[in-house]
Amino acid sequence: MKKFSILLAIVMLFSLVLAACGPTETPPAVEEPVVEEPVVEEPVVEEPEEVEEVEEPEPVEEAPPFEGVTVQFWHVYTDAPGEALQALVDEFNDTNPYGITVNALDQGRYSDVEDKVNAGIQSGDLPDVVMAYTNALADWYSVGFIADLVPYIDDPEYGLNVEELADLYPHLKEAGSTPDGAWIAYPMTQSANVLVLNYTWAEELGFAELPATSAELKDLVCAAAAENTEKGGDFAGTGGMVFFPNATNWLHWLYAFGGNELNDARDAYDFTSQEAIDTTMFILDLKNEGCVWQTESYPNPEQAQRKAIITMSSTAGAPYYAAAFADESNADVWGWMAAPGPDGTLAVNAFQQMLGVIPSTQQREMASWLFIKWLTSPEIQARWIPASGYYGTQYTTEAMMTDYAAENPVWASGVELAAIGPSEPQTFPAWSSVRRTLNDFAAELYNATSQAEVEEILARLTETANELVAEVQ
Amino acid sequence: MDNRHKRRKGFSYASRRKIFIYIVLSLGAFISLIPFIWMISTSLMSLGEALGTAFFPSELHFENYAEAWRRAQFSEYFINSILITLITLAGEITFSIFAAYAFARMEFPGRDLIFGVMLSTIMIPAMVLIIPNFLTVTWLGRIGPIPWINNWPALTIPFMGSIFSIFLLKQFFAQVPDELFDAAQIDGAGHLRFLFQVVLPLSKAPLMVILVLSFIGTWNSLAWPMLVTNTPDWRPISVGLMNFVDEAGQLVNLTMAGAFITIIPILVIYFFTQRQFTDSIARSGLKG
Repeated sequence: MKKFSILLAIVMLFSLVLAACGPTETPPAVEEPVVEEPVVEEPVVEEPEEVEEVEEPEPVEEAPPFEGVTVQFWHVYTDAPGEALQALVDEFNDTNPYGITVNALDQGRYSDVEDKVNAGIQSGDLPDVVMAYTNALADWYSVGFIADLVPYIDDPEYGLNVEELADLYPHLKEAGSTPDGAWIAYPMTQSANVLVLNYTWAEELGFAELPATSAELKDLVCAAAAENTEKGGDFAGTGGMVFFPNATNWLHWLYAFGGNELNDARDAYDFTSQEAIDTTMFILDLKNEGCVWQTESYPNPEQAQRKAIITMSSTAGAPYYAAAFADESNADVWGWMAAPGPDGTLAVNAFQQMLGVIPSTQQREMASWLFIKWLTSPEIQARWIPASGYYGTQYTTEAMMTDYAAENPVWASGVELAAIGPSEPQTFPAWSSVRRTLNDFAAELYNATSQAEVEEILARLTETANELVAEVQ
Repeated sequence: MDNRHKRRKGFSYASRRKIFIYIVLSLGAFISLIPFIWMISTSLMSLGEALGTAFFPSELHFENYAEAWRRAQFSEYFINSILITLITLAGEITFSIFAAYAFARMEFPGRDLIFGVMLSTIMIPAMVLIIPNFLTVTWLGRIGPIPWINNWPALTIPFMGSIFSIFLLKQFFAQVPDELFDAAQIDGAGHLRFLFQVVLPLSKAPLMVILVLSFIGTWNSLAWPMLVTNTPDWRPISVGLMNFVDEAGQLVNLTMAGAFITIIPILVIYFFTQRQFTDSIARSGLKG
């Protein structure tokens, strides 16, 4: 009893001692960028201790326009990519002629960054540059917490010239711009939802060339399904394409069929187009003929076991496929391809790792832009890609990656696809909510039994999407 | 003879029943152990194997543990977690004891109303409180002598006032007979002495419950630490596990190795407190 009392007293005392001994200074890396006013260092004029002669004051060099500005940058990279990014940031800090210092801080996953910015909007603790998905940046822009980059991109001294703008892949400006013309999300790199094809198996099945149209793709996946059905056992019912009916995959095929999510005037959602109907009927046709199937989890092992000739994945999933093929000791050659439409249109569903600038003073915003401009310049991007495995955003970067592409054939198979796009309309009002709804509707579409039912579901989807817009507005 | 035979038959029936109960319980224990076994098994697989459906590794990859430790920066986060947990536990136990004692054994105006209001906050989902709590700690950091964000106060102080702990202790303290307090008063003891020398020694069971539950809650917390830290300086061990997840998937084998490393302290705490916990319950009954 006595011992217990003593133990308890020690615990209480310990709490007090810890509280008293805690650090009393701000941890070195913590800064409050919004509260902090841009600091322009005054030239320090020291008082001479003993002045015997009045010396001519030395001419004071004019401080660079951004001298002393510290830009806080929230990103999502840890481990090796995090270290590579930090090395680039250090290089910028050491070499930029403006006197800007960037403080790069890893904030966890994209969802963590979103949570932190949402909380920071309330408290005022926000960074200057934030890495996020476009839809999150669009949401923050709608409440005034993301700056329009157009004035900085167009700035005659610090902006991008005509050649630099033309070097950017065509779909990226639209992907980062709002319907009202504000450029709110600048792409750092790209990944894309692509088709993963087992080239070796396709060749064995008599398809030496990549399928150029949706009809050719159907022939390929159905031939693979037929081969596995003949094998029987564990292979029965497998072999074709693994297709999960979700927003990402359905939109990917919609783009290949020449469709999109908006009406002709581009002022409302419209999923009732003929392309949307054709897309869904194509998938249902594959399903009814036993040429698509689903796995319980990511289909990497099934593809490595030759239970799927095509799967759909983010290009960021390359390490998982490589591990699965290695584990199966499968030497088949595999790589990325775009979804082909009926007329040969090729499409991927491209996602960008976007950078946005939080509104502050013009000086800070410009300093933030200068850092973004440097970080996304072709030379720096070409050094970042090997560390991250992503794709570039500019033709010039692509040309600088020939050695890396030669060493990484899977990555190389996606270089041209990254330039194709398109991307989802993430800056269109209510896209986050519409996308969530689309996930449910995609599953419903996959279970439809007739074209009439498909049309009815698509009409309901359109109505629901536009209701969500009305709610937001 | 017949009676003995009957007794033997009766005993045999009881044994069969007991065996059946043990089989059911063993089955239940095994089922609840399956996720744990799967975690350890997957932690020893190659990535390719872990992505598949295998339950046991074909080859043991013990190096996963070293890699998980390195890539998750556990050496840094482990110390942070220990400090955060110790500070939180010490504060929570201290404040809960005094608050619970006041509500249970002291008379003051509005006591029941205040307790009722505090108790009603249990109904509010924790996620709803995240932004208000964040704003509060941000403001306190601005007006106080030390920063709260990215520092130990934001990670620990909000959890020192646990209404669940106060409620649990209050219910226990209220059961201590008034006669004991009267006797202590006659011997010259005040509230503090009565609390420390009589009430707390009789309340080891709820204190152990609070200790174990708070330890697990604090050790595993992730969303709040991510929100109130900007650098690794004070991030806990659970943050390290996120290093194995990216937009295209998860390094399942390393995640499981990391998860096993992170739960070792919880297992140790539970192992050491389990006996004391049950002993305390057995010995805490009061005789009139």
